[in-house]
Amino acid sequence: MKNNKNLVLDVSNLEVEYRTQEGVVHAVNGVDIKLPRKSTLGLVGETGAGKTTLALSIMRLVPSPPGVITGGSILLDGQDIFSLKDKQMEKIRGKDVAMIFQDPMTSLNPILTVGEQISEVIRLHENVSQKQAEARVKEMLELVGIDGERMNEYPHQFSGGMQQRVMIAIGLVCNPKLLIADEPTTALDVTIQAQVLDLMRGLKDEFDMSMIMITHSLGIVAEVCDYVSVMYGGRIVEYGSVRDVFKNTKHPYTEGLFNSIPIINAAKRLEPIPGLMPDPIELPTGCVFWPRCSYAIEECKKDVPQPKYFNDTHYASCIRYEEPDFKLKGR
Amino acid sequence: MLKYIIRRFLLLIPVIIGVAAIIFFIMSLMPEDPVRIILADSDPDPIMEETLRKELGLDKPVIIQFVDYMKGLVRGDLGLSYKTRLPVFNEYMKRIPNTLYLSFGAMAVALIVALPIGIISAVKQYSWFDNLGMTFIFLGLSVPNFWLGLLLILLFSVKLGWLPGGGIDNLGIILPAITLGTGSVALYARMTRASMLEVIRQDYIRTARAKGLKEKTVVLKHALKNSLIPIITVVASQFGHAMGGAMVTETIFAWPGIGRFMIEAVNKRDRPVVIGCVVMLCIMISIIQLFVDILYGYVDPRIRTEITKD
Amino acid sequence: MTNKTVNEIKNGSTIGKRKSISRRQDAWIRMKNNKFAVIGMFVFGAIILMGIIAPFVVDYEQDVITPQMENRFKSPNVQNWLGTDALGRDMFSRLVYGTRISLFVSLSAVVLSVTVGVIIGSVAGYFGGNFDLIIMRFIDIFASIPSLLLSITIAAALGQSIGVMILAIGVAGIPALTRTVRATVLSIRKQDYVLAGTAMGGNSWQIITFHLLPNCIAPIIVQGTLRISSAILQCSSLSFLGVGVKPPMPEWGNMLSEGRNFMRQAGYLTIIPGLTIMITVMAVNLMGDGLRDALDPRMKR
Repeated sequence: MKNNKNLVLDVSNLEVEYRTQEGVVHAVNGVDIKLPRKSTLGLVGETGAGKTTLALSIMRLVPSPPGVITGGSILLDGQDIFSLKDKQMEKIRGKDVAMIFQDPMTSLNPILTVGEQISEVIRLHENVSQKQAEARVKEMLELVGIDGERMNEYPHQFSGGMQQRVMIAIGLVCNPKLLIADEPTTALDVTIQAQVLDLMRGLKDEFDMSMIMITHSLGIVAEVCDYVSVMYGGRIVEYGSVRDVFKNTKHPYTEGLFNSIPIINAAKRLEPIPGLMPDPIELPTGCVFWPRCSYAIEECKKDVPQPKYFNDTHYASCIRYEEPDFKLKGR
Repeated sequence: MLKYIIRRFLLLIPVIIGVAAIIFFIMSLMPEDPVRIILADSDPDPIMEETLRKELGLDKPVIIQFVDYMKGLVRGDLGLSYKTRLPVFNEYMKRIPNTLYLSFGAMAVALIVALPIGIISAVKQYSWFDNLGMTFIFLGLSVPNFWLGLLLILLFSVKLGWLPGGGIDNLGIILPAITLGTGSVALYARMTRASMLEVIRQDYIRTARAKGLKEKTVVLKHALKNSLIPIITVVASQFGHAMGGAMVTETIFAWPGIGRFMIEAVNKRDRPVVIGCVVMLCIMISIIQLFVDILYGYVDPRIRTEITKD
Repeated sequence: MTNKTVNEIKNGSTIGKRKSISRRQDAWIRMKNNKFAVIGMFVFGAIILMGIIAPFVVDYEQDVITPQMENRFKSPNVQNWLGTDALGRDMFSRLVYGTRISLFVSLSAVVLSVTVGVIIGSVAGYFGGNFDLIIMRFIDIFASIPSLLLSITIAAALGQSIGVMILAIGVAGIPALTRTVRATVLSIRKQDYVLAGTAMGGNSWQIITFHLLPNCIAPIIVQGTLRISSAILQCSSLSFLGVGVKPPMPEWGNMLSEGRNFMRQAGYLTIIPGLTIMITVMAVNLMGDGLRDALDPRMKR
């Protein structure tokens, strides 16, 4: 598999639950991620699949109560973050690993200027003077395409796209090794989406960092990512390079996702995946997807399927691949 | 900014007229004859009564009386007290500083106690501190403040002799301020807690944590300042109702403020005093409200741009 | 191919779907689970009971009103559970009778506030426009007078009796109720089922009564309950200040006021009536808080 020294992120068998009044929500159920340096991973799945919880776990920001990490390990650049004390974790956040969130309007503090919010990160992690910090702030703003003079303005004075750029600036200003972007463009208009994605692609190269792009859009994955993980019901059902997963789709759920995308020139009808996402409090036994899977058999209800590898990096967790001739219908 | 202030004052006028009208008409329902009240000490003299009646305009219909009164108000003339024949305006101005002194003292006491309770309760939600704080708050809300005042006097003045039960000096303000403040503590603490809870749930707090800030910094720098806005609202709007509480507190502690003055006036059916004081209070509260709104602008930049826009 | 029927696939799975319960059931369950609210309900119920059976247990003429000068200032003992007051009257009997007055006044006042508030609030909220503007301006003006002052003025102008107290306290409570009702009506009005009601041909009054008001009941109950506690406090305050019911009627505030003069000799005269007020108010507040938590789905802990 992979040389562990080369991994900027090594998640093994992560399990996270939320203990609520209504019951225990199994948000993440045994997830592995091996992310090499300088590569971008797309984390795809519908709402409720556990993507955000996974991301928050890497930052150790899972709200607790009610969230509890019940199993697994996360190594950030070789360091076991679960063994760190709070103080040590605070040093890592914002500096070695940074996160940007979905809705920039609510993710920025309305009563602090944009410049303050960026310089806050700098002065927290680096020993610089006020003036130096300000210069860095201006630099960052220019880098993300905002006029540096605007650093004393407040978030509400910016448009949605610009606010997200500010968020990106905050995330990148300390040159993190890993940037986690949780649906950064979902709340933006389509044209602005393209701009922000462009920006992120450029910055990724310039800063030489790894990125996890959480999204429910396969299109974005195709644009920006090297690898893709498909998540469903708190588990990764398929993983591989973008090329492998897109051209050589193996898991029925992934196939279903692709079939749900309208293709303009195709004569085919849209085939939505029937049924609803499972209630995370009462997950189905065996394979999480079997209630909605058109390929499901009795065996699927029994055990959680193990990943089956198709090449060095491409795997899918589907028990039907134990049959020698099993193939998806294709699209 | 100036336009904003002027606009606020203009809006104030119908309110003053309305308030004065309401009180005026309610008091005109009282059965006692004002003239008899004024001349209570002298023997009944029909001629003098008639003269006085005409002089005070009490023979005219109530509506005309009201209009005359409003005309006087514009000139700054609030009439003369039935009992003392002194100008109401002067009597008000003589006493209002005492009430303000007491009210601000009470507010300070309340905030000093309430803010930490509210903040810690919110940050450590569901902890033993939170539960204790909530219980304390709850008790504070249920305690009748006049009873509390009496209890404090009973304990600290009568039994222990530590603090005086009246008088307007530095020691004398302690018990009344605590009494008056208690009613507010519960409200402020609750509001602070609710506001902090609301703010802590916000996305930008998550962003702040993601930056690696210490939790203490997150709470104090990011959460608290944002929480202040609703708290200021509550403190300001409470002020009017604190006036009601002040009346009772001043009565118990014989505090020479406007609250006690008004209650005595109501009991003595001294109409000009009652109406005059209510109107003046109304104006004062509105001015305070205006200051508070400007204070908002200082705390919340979104409102600042709104105010300075015109 | 697969072992599933087409229908099974089409309908998806029922695994993992949560049971749903009606809102009323949900509210009741939450109320029951809230220990404090239940305690509050029981205490309040006990107090009401005490008020109801008062005439059967205590003789008004003898125990409550008539002075018995030889019995003055007795601390709580076996004969007089809560002691006697300055005129030798049994405190316990007076308190029990005081319950009747306080409860009657506050409950009636709240009924008044709620009735008027519902009428004005629903009309203002439903019809909106200038009508709403004028009404609410008026209510705002009303509300800017401190409620205690308003009550005192009304009581002073109209005399000292139970009826006047009810009027005074009730009127002071109208603005808050009106605002609550109006706010609820405004939020519901825009929703679709009101539109449906209109489409079915109902006139304004029908819509208000059958569609809007039933949904206002929850906030009204919560507000109303909390108003009861402030009404009790106001009632005592008014009596304490001398504008409520006249002595020798045993209203709690009156008793406090009387006790105040004798703090040196008989501290308990000050403590006991106030304690009663506080316990009653606490019970009502617990109930009200419990109701609010139970009926407002957004306030889940």
